[in-house]
Amino acid sequence: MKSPKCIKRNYKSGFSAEVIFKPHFNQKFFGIIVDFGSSDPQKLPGTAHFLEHKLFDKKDGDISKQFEQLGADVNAFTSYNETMFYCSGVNNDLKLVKLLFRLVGEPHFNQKNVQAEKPIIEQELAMYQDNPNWLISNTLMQEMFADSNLGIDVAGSKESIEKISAQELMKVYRANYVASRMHFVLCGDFSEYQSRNLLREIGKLQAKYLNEKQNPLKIKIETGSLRDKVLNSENNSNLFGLGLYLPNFKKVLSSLDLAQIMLEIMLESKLSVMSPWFEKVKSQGLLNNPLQMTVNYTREGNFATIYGISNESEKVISAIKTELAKPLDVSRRTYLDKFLNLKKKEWLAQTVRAQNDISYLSIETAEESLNHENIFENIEKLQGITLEEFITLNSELIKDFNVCSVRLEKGI
Amino acid sequence: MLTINTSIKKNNKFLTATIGCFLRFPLTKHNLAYASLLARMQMNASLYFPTISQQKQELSELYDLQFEVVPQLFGNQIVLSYIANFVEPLELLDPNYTYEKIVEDLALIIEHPSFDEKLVSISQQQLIAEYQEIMQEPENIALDRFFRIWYQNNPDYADNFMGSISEISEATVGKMKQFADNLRSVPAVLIGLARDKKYLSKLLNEEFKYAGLLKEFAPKNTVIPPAKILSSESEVANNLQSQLLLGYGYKQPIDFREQIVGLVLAQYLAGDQSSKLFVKVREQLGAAYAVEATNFANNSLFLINAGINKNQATEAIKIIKDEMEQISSGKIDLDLLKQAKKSLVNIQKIGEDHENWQLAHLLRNELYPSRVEVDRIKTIKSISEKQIHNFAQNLFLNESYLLK
Repeated sequence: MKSPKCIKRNYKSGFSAEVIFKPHFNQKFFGIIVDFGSSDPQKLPGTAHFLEHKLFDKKDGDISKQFEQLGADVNAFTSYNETMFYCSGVNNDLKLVKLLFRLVGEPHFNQKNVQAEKPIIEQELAMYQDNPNWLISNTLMQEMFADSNLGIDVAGSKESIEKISAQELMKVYRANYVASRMHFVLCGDFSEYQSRNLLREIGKLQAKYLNEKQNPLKIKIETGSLRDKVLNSENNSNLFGLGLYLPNFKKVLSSLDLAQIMLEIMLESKLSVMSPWFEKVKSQGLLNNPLQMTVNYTREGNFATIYGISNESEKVISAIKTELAKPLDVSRRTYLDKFLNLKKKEWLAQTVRAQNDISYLSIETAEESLNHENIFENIEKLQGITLEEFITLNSELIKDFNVCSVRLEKGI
Repeated sequence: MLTINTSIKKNNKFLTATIGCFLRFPLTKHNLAYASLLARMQMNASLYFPTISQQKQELSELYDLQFEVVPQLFGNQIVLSYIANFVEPLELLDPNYTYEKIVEDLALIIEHPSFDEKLVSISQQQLIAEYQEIMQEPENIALDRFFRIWYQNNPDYADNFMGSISEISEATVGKMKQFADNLRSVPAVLIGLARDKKYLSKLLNEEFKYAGLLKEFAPKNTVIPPAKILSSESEVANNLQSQLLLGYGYKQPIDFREQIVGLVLAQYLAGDQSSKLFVKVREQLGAAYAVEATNFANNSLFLINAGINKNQATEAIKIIKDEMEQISSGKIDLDLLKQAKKSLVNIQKIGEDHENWQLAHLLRNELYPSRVEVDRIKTIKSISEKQIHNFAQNLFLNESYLLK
């Protein structure tokens, strides 16, 4: 498997940039990622997400219109530890790069425009909250991380959104939007000459727009009550979820991404449709639909979530807990060995497949750059991991884990 | 050699290849429900890989071959779509991973469904559980209600998502077998994108033996004419947001060029953050996070929908109706129209960078061969203010639905 050709550049300020070359593609992707997200320190939950919205407002109006005049599509997202601003177009490369720096580097917050944004964000939050998935996932996060920023929705709460002011936004912006915690990614069919020119311009723009001041983050880790909760359901949803709080999650072969992959493979070996466990609960009529499992690491805590649908959710939750409590069964060596090899193939394929989608590839690469990770190196390392190492590493990653759960029940 | 409807295009851009096997038959309430159930059964297992676990394992062995079976709707037709996406074998150089092995496995899965009673039952249970969850989301409930009203006089077209859940629940092994047997002779086509198009075409022609591959795939007409219902309904649910859907019907049938005019109008109204309704409903009124406009040409429907603040529904409806009035009276923002066309051209160019877009494009070429010669980008660029005006004049507000 070949990784795409890439050029990286580090600037004196601590800012960095990289170009990923994708010949034959029409799309050009430009993005700036900031090493600051919703669960990082901020007095009012939702401030990082509010900043993401409000940076689009400039003295001369909504900057997205200038991107659109160039025929480009512009967007942004906020995750637990990152905020990313990006655009895609087919031409006007340099103009888009300049606009992107203006978007991120030229805040314009005042009482009027901050107030005007509140009902829009409240509608965004309402849109999520009308979905039963939100109730389950939000409760799980609170049970794992209490009322910390990680335990609260990325958008904040209605109350915290209401309290956000222009001053608060500026304070959080100045503390976190600094050159050394930002990274630029460009992806598309660029020539060597074009990429060198663009990197030179990026060097000038980052010096013009970005503050070099460093403010180390003061991370506080909070733990929730980790209870099993039953919520009253006003509808007929049979969704349920489990949260695994992972106090001993750590790097595997110098990589948190690899640790995440290892743990996901372990969970799938126990609970996926290929597992003997799934066959058993299926034959008992407890579960028909596959479970959704993910592992997340953040500065403020590490966790896994498992979501499913069952009208026997209480029994399924209990069966999952029993299965998770068991160590990986070495007596099932043949099964585990085969499963690990299949997953190695799947991850290899997934990494190849990721190279087909410029937006996905760029966002993943930007996130990895902030975290000093490299998916291509990690997948190579994964190929060399033996079953014995897999079992030992997972027993360390999952050590002392705590589990909580949420299910819905009508009329309680 | 029997196969004729096979068309594999050369792929130099992607590291994966994609193959689609498409079967076309009329949309009816019964056909949609059974197609959804058959699709799920075949995604789960097949005669040669008889359990969910075995089929999943086989696909994983093929470097996580992505296999999806889904009924797609094109107006009055269903296209049962078997889509496989896999890493090009040349990327991996594994001697056991070849085009031959991939095509052989796909033919075994697609052409040999299993009608095991347990498989039918678990597939039914899965769909019932998923349908129940889909219908908890206000946006889906509203869309479902909207189409039930829109097609109140023609229930064969009224179902959304996976079709009638009661038909799915009541399906038996015998009925499913009969349904699948009947599909062997419906028009079919095999299309795709791959590095070695010649060799892949040859293998597909050898392995796939549908009688329908010899038939004309393109239907005569897929458009469902609008039935005048002039409905305005609102229902109450305890949601945080209201769901608003305004459906405009076509007074007169439209041609392909006019369909593209509809696409431009949808982009002008709600395609991006500068668009008319996005600015007026989101930015000025602060009533919504997003507004959408879609031209469903096969349904003779131009739909505008949004999740909006419960207390601002009346104002939002007025804004949308007023804007549609403005356009049909010829008041069009020319700068915005220019920008909407530019955005659509770029969306098309960026779409070409996605394999699923390419496959969908190839499928449309098979369904509507007369359009193959039309240069979409050139057509988008040529759309005039007058054409937008005429398109809007051909619309009438046929249904307004609000889920409070």
